[in-house]
Amino acid sequence: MASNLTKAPLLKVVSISNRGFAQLAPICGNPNYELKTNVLPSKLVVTSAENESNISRVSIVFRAGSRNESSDNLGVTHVLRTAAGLSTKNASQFAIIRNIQQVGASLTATSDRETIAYTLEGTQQALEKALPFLTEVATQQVFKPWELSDISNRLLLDIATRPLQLRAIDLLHNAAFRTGLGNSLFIPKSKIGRTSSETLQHYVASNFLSGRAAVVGLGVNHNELTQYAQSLQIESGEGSAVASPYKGGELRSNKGGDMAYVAVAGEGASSKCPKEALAFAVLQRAIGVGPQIKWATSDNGAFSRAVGGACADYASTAVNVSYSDVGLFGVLIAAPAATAGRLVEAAARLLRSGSVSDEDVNRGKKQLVTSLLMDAESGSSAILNIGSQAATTGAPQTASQIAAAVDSVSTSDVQSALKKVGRKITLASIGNLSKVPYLDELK
Amino acid sequence: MAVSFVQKRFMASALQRWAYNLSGFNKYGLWRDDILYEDDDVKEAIRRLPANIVDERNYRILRAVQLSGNKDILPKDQWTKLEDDKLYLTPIVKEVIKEREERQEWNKNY
Repeated sequence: MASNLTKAPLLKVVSISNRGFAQLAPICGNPNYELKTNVLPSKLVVTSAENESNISRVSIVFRAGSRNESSDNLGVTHVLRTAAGLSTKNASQFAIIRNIQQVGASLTATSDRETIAYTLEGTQQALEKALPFLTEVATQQVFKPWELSDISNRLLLDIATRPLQLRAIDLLHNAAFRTGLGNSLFIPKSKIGRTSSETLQHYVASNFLSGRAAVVGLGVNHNELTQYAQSLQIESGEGSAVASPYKGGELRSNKGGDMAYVAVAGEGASSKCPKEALAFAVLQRAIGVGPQIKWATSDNGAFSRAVGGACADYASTAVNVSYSDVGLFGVLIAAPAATAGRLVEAAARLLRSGSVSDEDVNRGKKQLVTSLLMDAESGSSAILNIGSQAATTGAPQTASQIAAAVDSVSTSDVQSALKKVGRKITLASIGNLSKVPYLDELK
Repeated sequence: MAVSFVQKRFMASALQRWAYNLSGFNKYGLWRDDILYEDDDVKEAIRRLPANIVDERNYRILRAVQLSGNKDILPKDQWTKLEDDKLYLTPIVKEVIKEREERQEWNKNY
């Protein structure tokens, strides 16, 4: 039944021989490409770029991340991303897996708090053959109950192998936003095996809508991608969007052990104001995102200097996330239980200080430009990035465009960003919390 | 034409009912899908049934075994009627067989 799916390629990818090369493109493709974006009458956003890479990528993105979950269907997005590849309306699980493997393509489902992306990667010939299966997996789900009960163990494994630093960030979101963006990316243990096929189908029917979707391609022809997007059977509509304002608070999960993982944060920038978001991105680098040299212990960021030489055995990184209506900015610390208290106090003092030096801002800008451009070199991360921008804002920008705007960020922009963070602090901690102060004890 | 169609349908169902009652398993309160031979395909199909349907099936089979042990049958008003006998398993068995054939076809080609 599924085998004849492969016979009618919906999207012909530009073959290498058709291209005129002014010069030889690097193997990873030319990272300095121009994005073409158009919006179909059904409000579906189509974005693509011809990056001359040997690997083509197509991604179908829906604004259906965990922020759209309610208390009744908590964890449904975790089941959804694990259920990618299960039997669909026209193709069995077996057919999907074997056909994609056979041509050497790779299909992944990635979800964050805003979006779920189904991405197909492979050589151009492989993509042609495997594309019908991407369509099936992303738009024709049926969720057979027995297949769902078979993936319960996978979900258990996923939540059992979460590292504590990840859980600290999850707790931080929960404390800062409570519902909506506060929902975890992972299913609560009590819900495993209780998320029914009907729950999933209802979630898909109310969130996988053309007004919330984007089709993104790298290394494909834009007109053909548009035709492919038009052929997708996606229900039209916008669905409902619930704002999730920053509330702030504290969550502690005392698990014992030797280490404490603490996230201290305040309100950040939404991706709706690109200038502010950029200032926060610079601030993140100014505070420090961990050592830039392998095996080094300190990163010379503002946070390391605030801690001073007093304690050396810790790791820290500044955290900066921008969602469509709100953001979160802070510092994540991992330290032995005994020293965690001093580090958390230093972090809170830094976030409330409201001042950043010019040198820190300049270093931050340079590091930001480098990391933006380096990320763009990897096609996998570039397509995820462009996809989530296309689904949330509708007008994605390339890394080079964003990097070009970094220069315009001034020290005062960065300082007002830090002032915004310091207004109301959120604290989330997990591990051995014997020496971690409570929120009201932070001066 | 319409008359002959109705007649044909009637004859078919009358014949079917006669054969159904003659077969005898309905006197033990069993359904057609309860007496399928449990090969691997049927076992997989039973695994896919919702729990309440499996419970009902097990109850009917147990009752039939009990009756057979006592060399007895149900009172006539409790015999399964053809109208009540739903094919709850056959469509799933067909799906399982189709999936198995798809796997075998694949293994032949690759």
